[in-house]
Amino acid sequence: MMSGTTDRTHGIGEEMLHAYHDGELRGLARWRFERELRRNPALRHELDQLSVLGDMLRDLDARESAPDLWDAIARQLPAADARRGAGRAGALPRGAGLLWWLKPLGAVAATAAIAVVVLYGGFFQDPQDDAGGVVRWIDTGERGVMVLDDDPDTTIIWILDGITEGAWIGGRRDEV
Amino acid sequence: MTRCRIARVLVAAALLAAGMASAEDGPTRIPINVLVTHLSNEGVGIDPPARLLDNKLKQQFRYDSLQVIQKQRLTLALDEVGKVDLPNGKAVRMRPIHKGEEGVLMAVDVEGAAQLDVRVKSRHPVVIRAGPYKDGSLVLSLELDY
Repeated sequence: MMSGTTDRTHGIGEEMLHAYHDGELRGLARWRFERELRRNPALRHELDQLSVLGDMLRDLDARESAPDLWDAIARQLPAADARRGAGRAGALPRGAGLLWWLKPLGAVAATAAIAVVVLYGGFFQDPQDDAGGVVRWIDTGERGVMVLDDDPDTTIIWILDGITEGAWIGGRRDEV
Repeated sequence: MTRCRIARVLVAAALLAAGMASAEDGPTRIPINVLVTHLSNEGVGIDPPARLLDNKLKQQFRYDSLQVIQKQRLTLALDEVGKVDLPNGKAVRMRPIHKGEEGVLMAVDVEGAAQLDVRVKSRHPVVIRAGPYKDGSLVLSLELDY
């Protein structure tokens, strides 16, 4: 479409045509181009075609970017977060298998669970990292555990005899 | 001649000081007090040596008896494993791993009960229930003393 433009436009090259079309031509060059434009119908035709082509490209670009995907993305976000959370939970390096038993426990064990969860924050740190509680990692196999650190001067690690033992008996303020 | 003698004395003093310092540094050794007790409702009361432990436990549990079964003091170097045999036929092993400003990181293996890593400061007892024992519980207290 643009081939031979130079010949038809009396020395005005394609580059200058594009520059004018894009508003990049200034001063004397712009004056000379517009003078030629007034005199030369072929050049005007080239410029019109360039404008049409530009409009088509802008229209195409607008159509492609038109779909607003935000709603679809937003709907996915909670699920993605949940999956990410599950992934993190699944990736716990040590001791993660201990937490499942805490679910059925009563209020007493829930307190212990909170203590354990809080302490677990320290378990995944570098062992030489000084942040965290006293218990950095614990594995009690199939047994439940309560970590009591109410007293800043003592840490009590109460290992239960079974998975849920201690929820109703053997818990805090209960028979040993 | 006098200057030379003074220099020799200074060098000798420096070497002596350096030697003393290195002898003092030595390997880090960590004393650990291990108290093995029997917690129960057998009505025999609180053993006087277990009073401090009783003060901690009675806030959390109901019992009337706390008897000391054995008391031991281990002094371990870093990465050295110390073992205390328990009356239930099991043993507790402990290994100090790292000593820092926030205390000593120590691996503890209570045979048949739990394996754990704890970071404890001096005089901060870690009390561990090591399982059932004679109608009660076997309770250990590990206290670093450095």
